[in-house]
Amino acid sequence: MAAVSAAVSDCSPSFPSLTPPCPKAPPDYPDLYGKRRELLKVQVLEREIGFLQEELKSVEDLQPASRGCKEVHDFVMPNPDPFIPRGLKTRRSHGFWNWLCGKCCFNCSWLCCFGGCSLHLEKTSCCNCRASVKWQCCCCLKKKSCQHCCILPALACTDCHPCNGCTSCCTGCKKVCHCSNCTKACCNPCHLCC
Amino acid sequence: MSVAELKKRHIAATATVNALREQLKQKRILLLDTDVAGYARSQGRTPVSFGPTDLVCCRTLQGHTGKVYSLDWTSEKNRIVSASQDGRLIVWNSLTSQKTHAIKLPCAWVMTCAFSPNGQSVACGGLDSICSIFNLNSPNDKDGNLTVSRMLSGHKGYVSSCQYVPDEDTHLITSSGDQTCILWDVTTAQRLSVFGGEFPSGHTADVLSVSINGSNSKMFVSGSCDATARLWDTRIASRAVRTFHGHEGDVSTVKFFPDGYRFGTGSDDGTCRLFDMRTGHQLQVYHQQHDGEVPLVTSIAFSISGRLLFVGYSNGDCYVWDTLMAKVVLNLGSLQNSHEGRITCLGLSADGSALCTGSWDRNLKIWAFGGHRKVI
Repeated sequence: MAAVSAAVSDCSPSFPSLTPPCPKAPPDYPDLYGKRRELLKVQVLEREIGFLQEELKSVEDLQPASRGCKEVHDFVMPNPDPFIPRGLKTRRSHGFWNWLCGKCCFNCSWLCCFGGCSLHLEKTSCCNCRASVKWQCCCCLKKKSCQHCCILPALACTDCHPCNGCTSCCTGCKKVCHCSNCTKACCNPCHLCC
Repeated sequence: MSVAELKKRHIAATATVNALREQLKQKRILLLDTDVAGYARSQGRTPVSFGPTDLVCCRTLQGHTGKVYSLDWTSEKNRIVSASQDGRLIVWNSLTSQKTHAIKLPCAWVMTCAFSPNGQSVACGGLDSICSIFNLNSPNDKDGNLTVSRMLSGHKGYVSSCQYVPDEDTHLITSSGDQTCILWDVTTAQRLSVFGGEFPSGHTADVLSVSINGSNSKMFVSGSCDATARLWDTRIASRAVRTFHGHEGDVSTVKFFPDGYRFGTGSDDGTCRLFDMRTGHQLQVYHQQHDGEVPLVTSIAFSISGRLLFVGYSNGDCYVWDTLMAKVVLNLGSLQNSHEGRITCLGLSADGSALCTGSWDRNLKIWAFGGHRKVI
């Protein structure tokens, strides 16, 4: 600062010497933001204390956990479950079968061809089975023994525009193919290039 | 009052809160006279037994070119919507494996998707902090893409999970990294209620999952990185009805039990738990000992009877738990044709006859009962 003052005075003796700038310290504003934040935090905690005290009182009147465990048990036991194998009596099996038959898609008989006919009905054969066991025909296409039973729609990739010479990029194809086993790059949503 | 005095009050209040929580924990422990497995054993129950081909993978849905993060079934007609790291939603006909829609998203970083109850719209959300709604019956734009019909903006963090209120196509609940859940009116794109946040008593970390009670759609439960699950009443946004402690890590997934009075949780601590909504009791812990690193729970779903709990893990396992006996009765991850990567999401079809799983291996798989039934 002194050197600057001296230099200024040496170079321009006709100008009065200037006092170098001396920035002032910032004024002591109250830290309102910090105070409000702190107050808010305290209020949240005090509210939480109130909730916890209420909960402590209510716990005094609570039933033990065994009551809830019994309710879970009593709810679960009588309910049939599509995933759980059970030996079914005739009357109940028709009800269960009807429940499965209600879910039909494509108006075709989705027959039980996984691992051969996995549903053994005494009175009907696999091919006469009308039940739409909808999930069990996953390998019908592969099993010759199932082909005369499994009626699957014969779909072809007619909805897809062929990708001329393109194996990975389908700039022209906007359609989503409806063939379940279509492997054409153009027939699946074109992620790589489109 | 000065800031220093407020800070002292803050410290004192924190100590009081911790002391009260400890008292509450001890009182609850005294009420845990048994768990579900203990009660079931006392009734002479035995675990469900599966044969090697009882549950099979009967469909593999291929088409995503990135990790699958989320899936949801329609309430009818067996369609599935899936969301992937490839920035697309795909709508599948699960019976035929056909894709009916492939929706390119405005923001590729999607984390969740959901079908509307009528099956005509899908919602999704992710790192853009927006929940986008697509009407599946809308015409495509000139580029062949389905356009967004509504954008639900308001979250200040990523949208981690979304679910339509059952039987209400106009209401949807989202959870977010901003520590809140929001109930939306989809028609007007307005926020009807915000659950949690800075002042209201809510989660203190990212909320990762929501599940709405199918028996009482005014109630929903949320799971969070603050290691708690919270029960909410949509009519009372100011505070959670109850907070459920127990987990020792992020609660990444929550799902209501079929009876509507209990719900399950899954966590990064590797366990699942069953809580009673009305009493707050932890009724059961589903935990398997592991050598080495404990796999994280990523997703859960109950079978329609409640007897089975399907749990997806970060190591690709998909355990089927007997909920009554707290035993693992099957691992779908060890079956033929299982996923080759982390299971990120799973869900039951509306009729409960099939389970769909989604994975980092880019595929979705559908599992169903493939065993023998003998008609007597």
